[in-house]
Amino acid sequence: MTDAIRIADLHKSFGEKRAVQGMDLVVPEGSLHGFIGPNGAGKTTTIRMIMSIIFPDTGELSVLGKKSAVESKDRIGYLPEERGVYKKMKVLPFIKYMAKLKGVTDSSLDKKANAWLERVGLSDVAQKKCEELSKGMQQKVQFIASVIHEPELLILDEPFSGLDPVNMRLLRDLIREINEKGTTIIFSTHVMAQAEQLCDNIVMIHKGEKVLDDPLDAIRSRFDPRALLFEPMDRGVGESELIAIDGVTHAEREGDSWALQLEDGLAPADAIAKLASQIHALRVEVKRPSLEDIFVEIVEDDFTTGELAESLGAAS
Amino acid sequence: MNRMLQIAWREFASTALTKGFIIGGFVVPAVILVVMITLLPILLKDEGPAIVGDVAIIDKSGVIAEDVKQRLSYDTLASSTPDLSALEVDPDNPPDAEDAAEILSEVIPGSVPELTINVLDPDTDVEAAKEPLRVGSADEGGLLALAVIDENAVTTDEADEDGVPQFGAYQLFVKPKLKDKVQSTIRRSLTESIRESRLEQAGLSPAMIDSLTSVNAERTKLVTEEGERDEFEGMNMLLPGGFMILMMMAVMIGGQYLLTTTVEEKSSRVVEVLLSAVSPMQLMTGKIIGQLMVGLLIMVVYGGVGITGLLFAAMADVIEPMTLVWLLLFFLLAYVQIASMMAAVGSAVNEMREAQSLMTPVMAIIMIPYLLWMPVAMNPSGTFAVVCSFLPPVNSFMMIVRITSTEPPETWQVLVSLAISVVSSYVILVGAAKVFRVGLLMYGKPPDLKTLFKWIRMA
Repeated sequence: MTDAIRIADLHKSFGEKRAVQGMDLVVPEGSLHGFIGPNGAGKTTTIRMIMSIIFPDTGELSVLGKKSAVESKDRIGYLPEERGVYKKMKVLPFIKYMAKLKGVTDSSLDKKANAWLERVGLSDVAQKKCEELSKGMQQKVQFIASVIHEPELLILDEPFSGLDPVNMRLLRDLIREINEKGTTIIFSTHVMAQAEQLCDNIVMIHKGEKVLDDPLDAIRSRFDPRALLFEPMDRGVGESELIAIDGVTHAEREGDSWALQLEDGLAPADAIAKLASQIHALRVEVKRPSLEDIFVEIVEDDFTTGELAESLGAAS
Repeated sequence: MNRMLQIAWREFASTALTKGFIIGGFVVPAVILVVMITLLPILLKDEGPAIVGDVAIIDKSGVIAEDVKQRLSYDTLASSTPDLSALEVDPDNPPDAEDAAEILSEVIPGSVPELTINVLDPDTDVEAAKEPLRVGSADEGGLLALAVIDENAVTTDEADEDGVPQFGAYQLFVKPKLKDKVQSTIRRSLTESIRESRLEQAGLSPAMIDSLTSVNAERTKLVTEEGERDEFEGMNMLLPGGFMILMMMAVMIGGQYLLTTTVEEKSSRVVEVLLSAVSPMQLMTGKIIGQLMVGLLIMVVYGGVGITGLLFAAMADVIEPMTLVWLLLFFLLAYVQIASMMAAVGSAVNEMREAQSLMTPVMAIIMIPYLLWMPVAMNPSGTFAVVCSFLPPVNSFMMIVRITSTEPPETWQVLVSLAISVVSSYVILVGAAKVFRVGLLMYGKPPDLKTLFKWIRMA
């Protein structure tokens, strides 16, 4: 399988601020990659460089086998974070205009645009001016504009911001559907739950550097917190009783439950058996790391690159 | 290329094919023109109520009071006021500017004043006679004016060293806010009356004197290949100015729209969506081409109206076909310069308000030709004019002024100026494209000029 995007040692500074430093990235064709990271981490800058909207200071970049996205813009769909519509233009003409700019010339354009509008439930506003649409509706129109030319690579920068849960689900389904048809998709978000629900691969960016780039499963196992989530039947159970259990090094209240840190070398299965035999449990489970936890851990610890690599190496 | 044309077409359609543009640009001016031509004379003719009142005359000379009274009588005034409906302009012999002003003053005669002339005793105290002027309003009757005719206005004993007689004249006192029209009617009557009395006194026939002193030469004829026609003298100044203003108008309107749409695209955040499909350079070029069509449309429509007007006046030959070619070329280049700068400014700011300070230098480039037009048009071959027509970024405008003047420059000068325009257009376009590329995605504090130049060096 060839790679849709290949980035090597990419650097970009804006004056004093180093937005992206030493980014390496490979996105294979057909994958669904999520870019996560806090605001200002460098996600949008990276995406803009991939799109050749801004140019890197140093480093190599190839998109769909070309040196620059300029040469393959027709094969890329892009929904920028800073997005908008022509306020005075009508919805259908706007979509058609964007499609024509992407090189779509065939006569079925009208049909295609209408089919998409129907798919997202906007067929009744096709002849309305864009300014009459709500923000969420405008966002769906922009999404259509980014996929109307059936791109091979789809880049979505914060596609979910400003959508209600119903539309969020609709968009999620659409993204999955398009990905299943073979389109490579990259999307960025700062809401970890969305990435968790959707992506095969996670790329985490922090302070302009890539701090994580792995399949979701691998990340989960690597960041296994080695902890149990335990909800005792008796609410009165205290920390001292929990720590008294063999193998539990630390106990911390999380709402009605307790998070129990396990001793190194102790298998979670054994720990559950031990725990259940001593205190009646309403609920016991192995604590799974959420991306959010991993994210917060990485950001808060503020690793230097070296330390992070070391810790990642040790974990895997 | 196809993409640029798509952008250009959208730009043109969203600007020129809107109700606002068609109404504001063409319908309203057309309506104003029609109203000016058809309704204005009628409206002006109906000037409101006639002036009614008394005019007192103290005739110390004792010989002209009756004549003046006759001249100012309602019947005389009414019969000497030309009838508007009888006014016809001979299409083969159109009036020149001076004639036109005269005709216009006759066309707008106003109502005939109804004046009652009171000839006072020559010994009346002038100061006492003035008193009625100070009370009451002119419109409500009462004394409007007091004319005091000098004793020696018609006959005199005085003479200078050469024996030429020295005459007296008259004084006219009027009340405040008396219409100029009425004042000048009274003055004219007094003057003519005194003059004719003097002539008769000297035994001369006024008609003979009139005939002897007036020289009614025919209008200057311009001899051209097509034949002869009346020379329109004002044309030598008006034509260069007209061409320059036409060009400036088209450049300015196209540029202004370009600024507006760029700021709009940026503030509505549609710009990055566009950049996913086209490069900044394609976007800018497409937009410039689109607004160029708007500018051309304006130039063709307004220039067309002007040329049609000249055709009707049988003066179309004042414009040579080559002039139009030069106009088009210099317009293109001047437009590219201004439009590029406008696009750069538009891309750098977040909203129109912030564009003001950056617009100042661009506006200056457009205003400078206004100031230079007169000196250049008056002496189109002088050193000053030549230098101006080679000095970017105003050389395009100044060269058009020179080309349409009475002393067109030599062709090599036009070509050099054209070359200078081409080079400066290119430089400005490249610089603007750099600012455009950086500016489009730059939000936040609007940059100053220094920052813009930094962007040009940086990109």
